[in-house]
Amino acid sequence: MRFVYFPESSVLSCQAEMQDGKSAEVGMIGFEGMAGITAVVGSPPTVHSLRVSIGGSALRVSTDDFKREIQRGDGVQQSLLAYAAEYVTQISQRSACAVFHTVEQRFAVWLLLLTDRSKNDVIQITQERIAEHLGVRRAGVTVAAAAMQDAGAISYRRGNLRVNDRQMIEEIACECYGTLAVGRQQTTYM
Amino acid sequence: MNNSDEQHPTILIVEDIDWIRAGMKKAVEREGYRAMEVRNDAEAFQIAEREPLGSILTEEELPTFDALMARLREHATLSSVPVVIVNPDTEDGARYGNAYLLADYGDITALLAVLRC
Repeated sequence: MRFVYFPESSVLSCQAEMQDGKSAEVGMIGFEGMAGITAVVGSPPTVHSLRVSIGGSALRVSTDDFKREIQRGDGVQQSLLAYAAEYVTQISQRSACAVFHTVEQRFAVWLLLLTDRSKNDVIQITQERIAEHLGVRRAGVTVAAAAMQDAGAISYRRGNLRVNDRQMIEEIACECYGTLAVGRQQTTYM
Repeated sequence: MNNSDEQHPTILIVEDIDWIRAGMKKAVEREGYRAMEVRNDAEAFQIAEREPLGSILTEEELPTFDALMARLREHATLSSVPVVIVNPDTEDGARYGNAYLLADYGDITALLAVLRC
């Protein structure tokens, strides 16, 4: 990985892809963090791939330059370590969430995490892509989205998803959102 | 079951995942239709032998989807029964032979009305 990326308005998705073509999001990266941690710490090439969930701006720095900056051991290094800890927390919490919680709850958490980072209540995304993020079938997303739409929490039409009632979505979401929320505190690490 | 059972033939839901099947059933029954549920093509044909069906509701990621569609096409009476396939990123009502795509459960009433279920 030649560059590390720092999203501004964009949101990236770290995806685990299986041999049969199925995939699921294992991590979400927005303004609070960076893509390319594994390249910086010198571990072998990642087995996961990055996708853009929400298009927008991002800054990039060459991985070698960023490594040199980290080796100076000042505030950038501290920020990287703090973010790395947060990112590991996100991955591990979402792993447990996928085991214990319903698709509707996970959909709600994912939607909250995404809109925290995009800072926009309207998202252009297909249900097929949502299904890839959640690691479920498209029909499962349709069922979960229909339930949330019936409740008035969202409206979805032809690839346009609008958050109508954020508080209701937080009530649908499981406890994992409380652990992972970054938007309300305006947390930024990098 | 509700008062409209006598007005509408049965919608047979073919889906192997319990919570997705329950969501499909809820969408169908909310619009006044009677729903029956099975998990796969084998169970679907057992039901079809004894129940007149207005439509079949399923999804294309069903593990037995291809077998279901192949058997339906070859069946003497079921080949004429419309099949509604959930595919959220397509155009509602798009038709492929006797199969119709359903993007959103909000449109299921209109689609079933077109199919005269």
